[in-house]
Amino acid sequence: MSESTAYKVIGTRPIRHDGLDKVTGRAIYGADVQMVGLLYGKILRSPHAHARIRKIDTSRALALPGVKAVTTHQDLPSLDDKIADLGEAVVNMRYMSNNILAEGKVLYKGHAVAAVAATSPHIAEEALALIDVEYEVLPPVMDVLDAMNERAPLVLEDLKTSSIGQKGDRPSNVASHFQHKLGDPEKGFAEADVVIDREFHTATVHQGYIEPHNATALYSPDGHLTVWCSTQGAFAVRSQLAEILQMPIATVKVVPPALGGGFGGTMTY
Amino acid sequence: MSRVHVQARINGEETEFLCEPRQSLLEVLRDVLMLTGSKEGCNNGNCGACNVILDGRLVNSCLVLGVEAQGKDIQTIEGLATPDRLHPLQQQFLEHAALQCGICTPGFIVAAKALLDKNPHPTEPQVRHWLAGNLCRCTGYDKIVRAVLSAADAVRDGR
Ligand code: FES
Ligand code: FES
Repeated sequence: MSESTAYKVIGTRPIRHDGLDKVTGRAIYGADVQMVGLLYGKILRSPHAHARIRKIDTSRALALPGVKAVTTHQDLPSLDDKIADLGEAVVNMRYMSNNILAEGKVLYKGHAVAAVAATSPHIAEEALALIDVEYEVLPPVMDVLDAMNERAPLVLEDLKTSSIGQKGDRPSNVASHFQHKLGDPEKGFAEADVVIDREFHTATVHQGYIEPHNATALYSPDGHLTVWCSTQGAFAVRSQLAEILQMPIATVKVVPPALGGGFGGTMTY
Repeated sequence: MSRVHVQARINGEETEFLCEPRQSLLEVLRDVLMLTGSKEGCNNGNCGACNVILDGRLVNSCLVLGVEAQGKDIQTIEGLATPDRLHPLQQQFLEHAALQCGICTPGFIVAAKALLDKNPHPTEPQVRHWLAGNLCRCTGYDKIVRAVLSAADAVRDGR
C-alpha cells in the first residue's frame, strides 16, 4: 500500500463512543437508575421442584413497616393461550405469565411465588420470610428421559404434544416433537465403516455476563408504564409486558440503559 | 432500624452520611451517595466490580460495611479524573479498547490504580496477578493488562 493512501477508517484505532462514560463511572446501567420514592423488590422462590400452592398468606409481610406491596399471581391478569414470537423462540404467553409468578403450581425449585416491594432491599428481604405459603409437595420429574415416560408425573397438566403440526390427545410432558430429515440415515449407517452410538449429558448453561438482571419501573396514574431494564431486546420486552399486563402497547415504554454484558442471554430481561 | 452517622473522606471531600449498620459500603456509595460508578456484579466478593480504595487498600466494597468507613479515606472511580483530564489508566483503557460493556471497568481501573500507587512499574505477571480479583466477561484480559502497563509508562513519562 502506498504511503499516500489514507483511509478514513481502515488502519485507525477509533475510541468507542461510550468509552468516556464507562471509564469515568458515569454510564448509567439498569441498576443505576435512581428516582425519588424508589422501592426495592425481592422475590420469594419455591423451595420445591414440583408442588401445588394451597394458600399464600401475605398479611404478616404487608404489616412490616416499609413494605408497600406484596404481589402474587392473583394480581396478574389471567391470559388465554397465545403464542408469541420472541425473535429467537416462540412462547405461550400464559406459560410466561405463570413463570413470572407461579399460578396454582410451582414447576421447579426457584420458581417465583411472590414479590415484595419495600423502601429498602433489606426490609424486602425480611418480608419474604413473613410470607406464608402452604405447599402440597408433588413428585418431581428430574430428568428429561424420565419426564418423557408415559407414567411420569405431569408438570403442565394441560400440555399436549404438538407433533409435526398435530396436537396429541393426551397430556404429556413432551411439548413438541419435530423432525429434521435429510437423505436416508439408515442406509448411511449400514454403509458406514464405524458407527459410534453414545449418550451425552451436559449441565444447563447460561451466558455469564457480569451485570445481574434488573428492572426499574414507573407506573403513572394516567396508565403509562416506563421500564428501565438491562435488555438486548427492548421491543420484545415491551410487547411481552403489554401482553402480560394486558395494557395497550402504546402505553408501555422500555428504556434499555447501558448493558453489562448479555451475549444473547438478556434478550428478554 | 436506626441509622448511624458516619464521616468519611470520599474522593477528597469530607462527607457525612447516615446508614443502617447492615448496609454495605457499596450500597451506601450507590444508594445513599448516588455514586453509582462502583458496580455490583455479585455482592459476594467474587467479581471486583465494586472495588474501591479504602485508606490505601484495595477492597471489595460489597464486603465492607458502610459504618466501617468512619474516619476513613475512600477513593472511587468517580474520583480519578480531574476536570481537565482523565487519569492515565482511564485514557489507556480507552486507547487499548480495554472495555466493551464496561460494567467491570470501574473495578478494574480502581484495582489497577491501587497497584500503581504501590508499584508504579509493575511487570506483566504482577499486573495479571494483581487483577486476579476482577472478572471481565466481554473483553478478555489481555487488552486490560496492556492498558495498565502502558498507563504505568504514561505515569512514568509524565504523560
Ligand atoms: S460486587 Fe463486590 S466483588 Fe462482586
Ligand atoms: S467489559 Fe463487559 S464484563 Fe468487562
